[in-house]
Amino acid sequence: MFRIPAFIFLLCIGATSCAHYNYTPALLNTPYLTGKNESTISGYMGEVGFSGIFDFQAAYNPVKDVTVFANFMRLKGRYQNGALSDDPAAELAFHRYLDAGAGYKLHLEDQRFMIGLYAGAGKGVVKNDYGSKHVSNLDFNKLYIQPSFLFKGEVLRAAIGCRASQLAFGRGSIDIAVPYKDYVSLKLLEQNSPLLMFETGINIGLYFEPITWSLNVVRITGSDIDEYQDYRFDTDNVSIGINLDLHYFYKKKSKKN
Amino acid sequence: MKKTLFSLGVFSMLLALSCSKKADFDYYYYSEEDTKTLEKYLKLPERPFPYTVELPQHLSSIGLFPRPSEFNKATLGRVLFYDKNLSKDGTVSCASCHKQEIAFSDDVAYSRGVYDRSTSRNSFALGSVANFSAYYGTDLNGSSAIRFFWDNRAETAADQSRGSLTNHLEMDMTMEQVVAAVTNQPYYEPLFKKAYGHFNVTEDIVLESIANFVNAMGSFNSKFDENANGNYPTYSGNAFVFTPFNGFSASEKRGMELYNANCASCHSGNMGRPVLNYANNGLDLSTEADQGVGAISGISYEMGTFKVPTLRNVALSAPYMHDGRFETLEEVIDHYSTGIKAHPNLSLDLKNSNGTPKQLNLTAQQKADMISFLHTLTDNEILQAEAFSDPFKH
Repeated sequence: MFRIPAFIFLLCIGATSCAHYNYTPALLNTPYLTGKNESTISGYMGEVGFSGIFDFQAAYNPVKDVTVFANFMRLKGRYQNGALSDDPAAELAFHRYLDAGAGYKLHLEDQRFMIGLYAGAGKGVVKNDYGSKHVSNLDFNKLYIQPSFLFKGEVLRAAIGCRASQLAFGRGSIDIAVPYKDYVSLKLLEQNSPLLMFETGINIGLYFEPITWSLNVVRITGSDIDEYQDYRFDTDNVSIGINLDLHYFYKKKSKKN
Repeated sequence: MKKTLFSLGVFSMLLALSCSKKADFDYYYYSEEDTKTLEKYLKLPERPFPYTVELPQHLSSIGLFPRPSEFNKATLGRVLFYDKNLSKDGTVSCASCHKQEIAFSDDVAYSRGVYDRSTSRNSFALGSVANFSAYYGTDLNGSSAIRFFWDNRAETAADQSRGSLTNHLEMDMTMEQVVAAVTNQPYYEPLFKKAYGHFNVTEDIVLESIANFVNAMGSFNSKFDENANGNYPTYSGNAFVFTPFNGFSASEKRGMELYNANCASCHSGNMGRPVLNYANNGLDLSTEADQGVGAISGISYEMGTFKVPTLRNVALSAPYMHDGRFETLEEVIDHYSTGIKAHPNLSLDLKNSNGTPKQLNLTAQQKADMISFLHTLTDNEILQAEAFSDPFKH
């Protein structure tokens, strides 16, 4: 569907040489909606190691500058002997995450610049299959607030945000024969959860009505980055995708009427 | 709209509560049902022991390789090794005659088998199988591979296990009975499934599992190893030697010199595998009662010869010799000092050029030095290692 530029792909591979992660950050949702009843949906795709990530985002403004939104992320990959594989017995990484939230935008003097404050909550599951039926299953809950700074030009759209998240792993079911390093990371995670962490994201897009072509990047940030790697967290999600302004269609329809 | 916002608020509150909870991970290796079955009978660790054998540098550097051991099979082997159900009267396991606290040897000259029958030879110390059964290069089961039992009749640890299980003085089972006994114990199914992916018990896989456990028994943490590691071996005379042993006392060093001059040509200077597979060491003038290796091979010059053991953990494995005739190391040293008999097949290393027995004629100080050195071969870690301990709940 989308071709990922080689440098981004290499960045992903370089940053993430292993495909079994206990957490991968979902992309930040920074909707550029302002008017009442505006809505948008977005789809993003990226790669982490040998796994593909798909992020789906939806947002709706029930009143001017107030947005409710929902996000879904899925990471899936099968690989064997260091290569992608369709073999059902191959090792598998499978994550799903769903959240919902709401936020408010404040316009600066130059109306193209906005400050948004969002808050949301979500649930996720992480399944890692290490082959030979050695599996770890985790679930987690996440609460976050996300201040963002947005620029909405005629063509260029850009946003930067930082999600302060409380990440709490709940129940886990872990085959103890998973590789020892993964076992250690799971033990560490169990011991230290819930975690407070920061996920910083950038969204840059080019708007050609009604579609915005975007690059969306999120990275776990902060001084504890090594710690997150010890937890076997994937610290980056680099994806590209499109946003479709749904209100374009019903505005057009109402104009016709 | 209000309803939506209210629902979102309630959802967020519930998540906020759940986000403050501690994680609760359930670690399993076997299925829940299998875990319950195993926990009823066995004390197995949360995570299986690795049973990975790594020879110390001073042995690996001369091209010795340990026999391979797979942890699931070794875990199963550990249970089989300690299981008394594998004997005719349910009173004897492999561990009955190979006690962990004395380096998997027995403290009597002749161990007791089923129905309190006396076995015919002294129990061999297994506490360093990984060392003495190590092999050079590709010669895993080749002609120079180390053999088992005092008469070397078993080619592998698996064959050795079969020998003990079916010996009428030891465990007195047929292999069919062993297979049936294993099949009937509820705790074996999960272990076999992990090790082999099924529970079709056969003689071969029972023996292979025991061999995987026994081959993982290694003594690498002796004072000797501490001092030998990092020093590259040099070939001196007819044995590998290591210098300097700075952590050794003066007495231990003198003992090692005596050992290298008089004993290493058979038992090896590096404490890897013995140099000779078998020898006669002049215990008796004749050995009609027990011909050892010769009784198996029928070869006249092998009559009265016996396996040359490793001396690792020798201070723990009394009594000594194939018939347990010597109760202490002092008695053993006395034998080599003045007691060697002129057996027709006496080892050449124990003969003078005129064919008479070579008595070492050691002084009291030399004997004490030799014993000091032999104590440096003790590895206390394997005596307490949980990986090799009895897994049964008694």
